Amino acid sequence: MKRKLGLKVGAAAAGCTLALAGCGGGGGGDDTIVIGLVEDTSGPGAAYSQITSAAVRAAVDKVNEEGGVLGRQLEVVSDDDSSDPSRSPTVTRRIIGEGASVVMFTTGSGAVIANKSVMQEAEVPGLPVTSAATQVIEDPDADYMYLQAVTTAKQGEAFVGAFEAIDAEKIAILSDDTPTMAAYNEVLKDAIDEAGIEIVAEEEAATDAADVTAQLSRVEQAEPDAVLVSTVGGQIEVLYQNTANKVLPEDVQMFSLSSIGNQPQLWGQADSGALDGLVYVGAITDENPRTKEAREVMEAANDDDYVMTDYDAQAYSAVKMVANAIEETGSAEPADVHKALNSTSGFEAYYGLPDFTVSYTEDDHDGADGACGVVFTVFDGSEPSGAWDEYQPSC
Amino acid sequence: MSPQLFLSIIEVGCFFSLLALSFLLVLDGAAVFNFAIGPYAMAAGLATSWLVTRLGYPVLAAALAGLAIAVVLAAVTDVAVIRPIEARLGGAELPALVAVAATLFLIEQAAGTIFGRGDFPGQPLLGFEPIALGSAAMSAPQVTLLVATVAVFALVAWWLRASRTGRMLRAVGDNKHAAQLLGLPVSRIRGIAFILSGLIAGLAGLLFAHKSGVSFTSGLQWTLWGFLALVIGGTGSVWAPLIGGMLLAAVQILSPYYFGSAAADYAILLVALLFFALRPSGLITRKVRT
Amino acid sequence: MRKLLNRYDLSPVLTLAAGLALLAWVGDNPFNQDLFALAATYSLLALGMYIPFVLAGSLSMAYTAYLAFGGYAVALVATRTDWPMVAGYFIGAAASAVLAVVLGFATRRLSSFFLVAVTLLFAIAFEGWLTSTPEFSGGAAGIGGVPRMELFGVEMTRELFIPVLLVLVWGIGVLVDRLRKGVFGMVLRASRDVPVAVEASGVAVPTLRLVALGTGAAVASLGGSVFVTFNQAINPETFILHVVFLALFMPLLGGQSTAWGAILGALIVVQFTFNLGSVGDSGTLLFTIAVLVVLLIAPRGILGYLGILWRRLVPLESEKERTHGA
Repeated sequence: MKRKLGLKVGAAAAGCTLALAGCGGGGGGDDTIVIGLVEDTSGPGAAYSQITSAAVRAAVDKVNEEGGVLGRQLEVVSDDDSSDPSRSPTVTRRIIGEGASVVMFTTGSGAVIANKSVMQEAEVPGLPVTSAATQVIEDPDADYMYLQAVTTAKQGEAFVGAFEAIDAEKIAILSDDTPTMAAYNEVLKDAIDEAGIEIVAEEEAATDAADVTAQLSRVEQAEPDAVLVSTVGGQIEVLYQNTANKVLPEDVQMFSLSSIGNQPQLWGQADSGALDGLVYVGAITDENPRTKEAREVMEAANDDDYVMTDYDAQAYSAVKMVANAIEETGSAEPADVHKALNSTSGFEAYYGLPDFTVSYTEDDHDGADGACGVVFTVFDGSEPSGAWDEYQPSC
Repeated sequence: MSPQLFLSIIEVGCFFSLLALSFLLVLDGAAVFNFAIGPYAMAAGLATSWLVTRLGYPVLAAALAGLAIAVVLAAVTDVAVIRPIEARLGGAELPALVAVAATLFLIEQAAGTIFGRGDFPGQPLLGFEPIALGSAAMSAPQVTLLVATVAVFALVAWWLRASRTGRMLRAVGDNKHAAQLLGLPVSRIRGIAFILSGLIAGLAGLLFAHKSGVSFTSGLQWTLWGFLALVIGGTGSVWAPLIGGMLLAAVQILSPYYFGSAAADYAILLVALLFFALRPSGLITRKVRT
Repeated sequence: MRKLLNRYDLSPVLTLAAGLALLAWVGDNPFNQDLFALAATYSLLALGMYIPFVLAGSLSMAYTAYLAFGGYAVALVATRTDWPMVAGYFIGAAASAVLAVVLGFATRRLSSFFLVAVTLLFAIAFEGWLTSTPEFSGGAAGIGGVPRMELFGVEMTRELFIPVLLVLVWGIGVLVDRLRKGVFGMVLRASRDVPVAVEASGVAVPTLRLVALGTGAAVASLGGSVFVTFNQAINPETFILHVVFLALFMPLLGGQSTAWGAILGALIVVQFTFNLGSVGDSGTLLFTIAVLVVLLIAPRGILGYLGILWRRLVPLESEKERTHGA
């Protein structure tokens, strides 16, 4: 859905005018419904955002194949914001300008948060597909953002349950230096503190750190029962897991966030055996029949070595939910979609444990009905092998 | 300090040292701080992983191709970017610096476009069982990196001392103008310096990529590390980058160990400021160069 | 007519006219308003980079920190004090100038590469510091809900703030261009090209450079201030390191021979990142190629060549005439 723009760079002012005149053309006519998609194809979130965006497109194709919504075809209008909070609002305004009924975000949390005021002002509903940051739905300007992933706060509760299930009393947290993770950790730590579980060590390193042996050595000295690696993923996650494998005793249970599960390329980057036994916040299990359906659609849309990730299922679920809302209200006007989303109740999601549902009310845009949107998933060897036996959250 | 920490300092220090040596060769041969060195290393590591994981090349063949890419990039930077700008503007530093910065981003973005924008796993050149050292163990890639670093430094030191071209490189580095007057083949020597520098940077990237993988954005950070190692070590001897690299690694690993995680960024800024203020020409100097 | 054209510097009039045309184009389209505000931010950044870099040959890479100073000063003043928001503009500018001078002083006797390194390290450490001080800076989430600024008792809505931005950027453009042509600018440029000669004539070159660094930092921090005023929020990742490199390339693309080149470069960058970026993932790739091409085969930049074209159309009558006119 890329616009074709003239390369009139010579005279900047005139160039913009020409180019933007071209921009206006692609909008939604009577026969299509525009789904906006703010993605990251060139920045730090490119790795997972591209996977998730592809899933959004596959889900839209599937809906269209089945006859579309209200007899109209869905059309994805997307643009790249590089996960850059200073650029993201501009990208979003442009997409809204093309008549989007709803805007989905597969970009980084920081950029999503920067878009709150944009959605508020334009009165168009926004749907972060992957972000779980509580700040997205906290005032001010939170009326039009709909969170569907299990929030950080609820993830914290789930972790507490997991720690208690394995009798872990002392926890260490390893994180990176990004603002995204700092925001996550704040909420996570509150939940852990409240449950009376002691955090004995807290270390961080830059996302492009050369080495984290120092951090792991300090963690080792604190003698934790379990270690939670809380990063945006990428190289720092691999470095932590590899180093933990070398430095920490065997019996320390390792935990991680969803990032490790959603970046399959990381699995090959880790040393052999480094990920074995790791438990992370997954979101998919074939016990959920709808997840199975999503998997079939995704597998048909991709090549043979495709592995479905949690984000794929969340993307599929988000598209389905929006399609439902539009179908029910009978209109694709943003205001009507907003109203319809607000009355979403007990939507059976395409991820999470079988009884996981998503609901919204006017005052509560934290969609997850409980922590069972989380499926603790365990690594066997170098790949996830399925739901963890020791503990699963309940709704 | 645990043996594992010590091993980490050696490992990371080797990487920093090789990058700094790559900087030093170009600085001597062409009086340019070539900030595109990190991207050469990135390109070599990324291309190797891409060839192995996507096209199924044998590791050694892929590694040779990766090194070749780094060498070609270095040579092209010299011939197509830095030389034309110097020829037009004379000795001014900044235009060349800006051009090199643009080259840095060009290589980064081109690599992202060609090889994809995800992370790639490093490829081990040699596979053998980890060597136990007390309570710690050195893995095959760590041993390979260490041996390669020692070999590279020894070879470069020998080359600078024993070969005619090597001796001339130092002469050019000391005073390009005088070397030109003496009839030394300045242009050829400079070309050799760039090629060697590309080769060493490529090797560094290739051998370090195993640690946590490599991605198209790795280059800028690697450039910074190499530059800092050079500044700390100084430019007075071929061994200076080795000392600078090891010291930088020690600061980077020991400061979070003793003072907590937040300390690393501040510690490096502090060390840099101290060196700039008190000993701007580094630990090992032959003459003060500003 | 020809005399008139040569005697007076028409750049302020021409650029103001171009600016007004741009204003008409922006209209009430929110996306265009965003582009305009971002272009204004980048323009101030590029002008701030222009003074020390192009005029004095000093390259500082701490510009993300200066932007953040300007932005956080406005956000903090607006949310924590009763002072008028404009105070944040001055505080941010002053703090940036002081920082630039301190970092410049630490490396004053060294080659320009050392200033590059120390300023870059500072920018990195500063972002980390912002994240780790939630009480002061709001930590990772930053500061949101910054109220609209009041200027002379009028609330600056997005629509009203756009012309204010135009006047601000244009005014600073005029000032910087005057600075370039004035005595200070001439000495600066001479100190860049032949420092020994300037030193010999009794001017302390290092001090001169420090002044240029400080002034540039202050101008750039205004960019951060207007950005936060317009977007009403800031966090540690609002201004990422890549922006500094963009700022470095802006004056080169637009043309170094006048301060307006920096602004033109900023407009081009906005065009590249938002409009050409959607041609593929390769917006940045195209941009870096463009920078290299300009550096290698068109070093005067766009305005430089327009200037040559202009001189062809309106040739100087004589050297004497010009000196008289100036």
